[in-house]
Amino acid sequence: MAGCASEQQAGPREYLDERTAATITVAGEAMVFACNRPELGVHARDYVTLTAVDVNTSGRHATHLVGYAWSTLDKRTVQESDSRYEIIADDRTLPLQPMPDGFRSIGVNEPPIPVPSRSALPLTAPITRDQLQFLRDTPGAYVVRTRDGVLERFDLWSAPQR
Amino acid sequence: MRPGLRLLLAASAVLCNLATTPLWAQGRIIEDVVASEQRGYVSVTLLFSCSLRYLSHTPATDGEAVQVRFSAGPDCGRATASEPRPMLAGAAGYVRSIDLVRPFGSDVQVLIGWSRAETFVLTPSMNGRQLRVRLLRAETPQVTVKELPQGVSTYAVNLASSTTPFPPDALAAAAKIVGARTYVSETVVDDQRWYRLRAGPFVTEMAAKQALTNSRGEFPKAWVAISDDDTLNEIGTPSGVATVRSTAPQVNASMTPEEIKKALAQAKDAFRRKNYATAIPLLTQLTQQPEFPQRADAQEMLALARERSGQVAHAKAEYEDYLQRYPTGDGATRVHKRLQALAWATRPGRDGSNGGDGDESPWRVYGGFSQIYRQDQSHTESGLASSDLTTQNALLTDVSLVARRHGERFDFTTRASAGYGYDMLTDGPGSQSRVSLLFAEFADRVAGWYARLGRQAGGSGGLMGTFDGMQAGYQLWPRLRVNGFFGFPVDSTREGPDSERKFVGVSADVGTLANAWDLSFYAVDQQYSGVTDRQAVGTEVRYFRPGITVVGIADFDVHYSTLNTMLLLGTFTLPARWTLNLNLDHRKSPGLSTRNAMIGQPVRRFDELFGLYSPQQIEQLALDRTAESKMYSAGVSRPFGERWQWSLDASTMTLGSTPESGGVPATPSSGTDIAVSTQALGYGLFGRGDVTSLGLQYQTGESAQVLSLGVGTQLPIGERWRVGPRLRLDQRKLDIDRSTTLTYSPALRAEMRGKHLTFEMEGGAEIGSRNMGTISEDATRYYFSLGYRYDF
Repeated sequence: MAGCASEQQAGPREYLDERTAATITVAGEAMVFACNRPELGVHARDYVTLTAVDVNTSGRHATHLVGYAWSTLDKRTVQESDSRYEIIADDRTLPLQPMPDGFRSIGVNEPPIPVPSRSALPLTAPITRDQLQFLRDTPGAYVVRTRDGVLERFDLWSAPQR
Repeated sequence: MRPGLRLLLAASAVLCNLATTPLWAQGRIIEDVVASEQRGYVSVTLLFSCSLRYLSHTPATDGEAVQVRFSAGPDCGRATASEPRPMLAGAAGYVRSIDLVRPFGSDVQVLIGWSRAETFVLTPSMNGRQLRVRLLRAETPQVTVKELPQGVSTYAVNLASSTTPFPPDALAAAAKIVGARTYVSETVVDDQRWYRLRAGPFVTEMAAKQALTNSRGEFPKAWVAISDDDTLNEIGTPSGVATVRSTAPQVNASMTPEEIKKALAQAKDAFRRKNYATAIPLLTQLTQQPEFPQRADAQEMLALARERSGQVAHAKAEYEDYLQRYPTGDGATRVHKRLQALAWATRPGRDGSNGGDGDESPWRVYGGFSQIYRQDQSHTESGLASSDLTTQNALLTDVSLVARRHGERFDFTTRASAGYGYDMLTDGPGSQSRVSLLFAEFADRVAGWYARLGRQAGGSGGLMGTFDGMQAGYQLWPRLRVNGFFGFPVDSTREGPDSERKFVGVSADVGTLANAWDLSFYAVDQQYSGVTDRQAVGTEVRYFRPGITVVGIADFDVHYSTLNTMLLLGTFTLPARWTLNLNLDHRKSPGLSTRNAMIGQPVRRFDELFGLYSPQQIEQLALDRTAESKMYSAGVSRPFGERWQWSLDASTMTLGSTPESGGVPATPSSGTDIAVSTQALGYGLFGRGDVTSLGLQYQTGESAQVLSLGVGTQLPIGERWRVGPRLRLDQRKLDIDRSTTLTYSPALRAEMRGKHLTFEMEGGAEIGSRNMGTISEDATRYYFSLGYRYDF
């Protein structure tokens, strides 16, 4: 995981999405949150990988958090549609919307970050620059998954360099 | 001339100067600052203790500060490097700071710092004792009932979040920082209870973002919250506001459709002209009718008219009734937001604090108190003779107090500004007290009238200065206000009311027309011991467009059938950031009045003249003693780079002759004095907040040539200290004895500003050497002042 992250470019990356004709700017490295799953194995974890993208469609900019919920062992948990994901920084919560069909609806066809596994669930949330700044400045931010009324906490596993 | 005789003359000159210059003029040129809110503008008036003739100002019309240049009159006494700061309590909220310096020659520079960026128009007074600055405020925009954006989102700024409750003083401190009401909301996130310190609510996102910007320095993690707590989502009647009934349809109301249509058109017209006093009864009558197609609009308009008339409780009742009657109507969203805004605006401090005020009392009391000790000493040496003289040894005490009550409909203001100069010289002018302002003002915002009684600043409506009396005004139409005045002119604020001289006057203020013109017309009649002292009509015209300001003043004395004053000044913003000032000033000097007949006569009171001359002779004497004064000036200024502002000014001034009459000898014309000066101002050269000035002036006239050079700076040191070293060099050549005087004037001023308490200290010297060929004379003057000011 860390090895994959280190292969990515450190700074923002920009590319033209040939399907949507939008210019996508990806903010450097992704943040990876992890939730231990000791019931499955010693080092078994579920992950949420997130990054920020700016989608420029004919000059109209929109900023989103995009990423994936994925697991190395338990594909079922990330594929269940009734799971809800939220990123929490202090007292602020930002719901992450599951997008089983990909990011096309926000103008992104080509994945901005590598898909971590075939069973990964795309997640997205519209976000403002202020919210991004707040997220960056809040060291204890984490992700919560709610499944069958049970909360599971994903703590930061790796974060981009500031 | 023998040295001893010359010394005697020099000493006499100093004593004469001392005798004729008030104690205050030696220590304080700006006597007071007063501000009053008017329809569409705020009038800020600087009251001077001596006459200052306006020369130029920069920037032209917009900025957070304005620097105004004057030429000091002879009654302003000798220059010190800088001046004690005036009390600003009377202009709190509009004026942040005022600094007056006399950098060289007769130049007086006043730097006025506004509390925020302002658009302004300057108007000097006819007698040079005032400067009026009009801060233009956008009037309430033309009213339509559909002006609010759609959407019912409401906003707050989340300043900080904590898992422990915020103490009450944290709310008050935050309110002061942000300048908005604060409150605490609670939320539970992931089973953790969070307390949120918030500023708001705000009706618009823009207002919230502005508050966010204001708060970022202290609260770096602040963010804008949108309709996410109970406070932001509630509407209704806040406690503390009387609930009144809304206008309900009457069973027996019976206007025909034509009458409804006509009344609605009349109401809309009155509403558009902001004539709410006319619109409200019409709309009330309309909303008493059974349901008709435009009734919803009429009720919304009625609520808005009541809101803008200050009838908050009635407005709320109408809004609430509207939402009950038309919950899905076109205007429901707008009315919802207006009701919310009204509820927040009138809410007492429930769990939060108001921005800056700290309480909800309708009273505001503020002011200041200052004491400054000053000492001036001079030492003169001429040949073998020398003398030491203490010209000032005084403790100046000033107090200023303002009490305001802002009610739903009525406003009350009272203002007092007074001082006492304790003279510790055995042969000085003696202790003096002054009362510059002492008045009470009552205003009815709904009916549009005001009245002010007591000692107050005139300056408009043909009133030349401070007076004891009453003025009242009534907003007759939206663009016409009529005013009336009567009272007794005040020659000196060190004197009480003098009922021997009295005046009565009327004026009309028209405008703003075509978004550019403001006009004032006046007529004034002044009597002195039963004789017409001054009887004049006049006008003041102000033209304001972005980049162009022109002010014209004309005063015609109908009793003497002569033009008393004609003044025209224009400020123009030119391409490439140049600013041009033009100033044409023709006036009688002193201002024409029958009282001028006393000049040179062996009388102390005006009525004593009647024993010496007939009324016709007295009027002729008054005309003979009144000279013509003409002044023209032009100046350009321009910023260079980010830190420098450069200006160049040229002015000419001529004082006409007066004939011999009544035993008073003729006075020749002064000839034409020409002054050329240039100045460079540098901002932030040494850090943040410092101001450095370099100036050069050359004055030439029939009797003397003066070359002056001035350099000075004001340096902030840390958060509290400001230090201002200054140096002035004057070379004066007198034609009468072909002497040359060289004067060096170093000075240092230091100031420590606390939250309420300011300490100031100034010390300086004037080291002069006068060379008259074979004889030389050295004169040295030292001055020192130390004081404090407490503002509350």
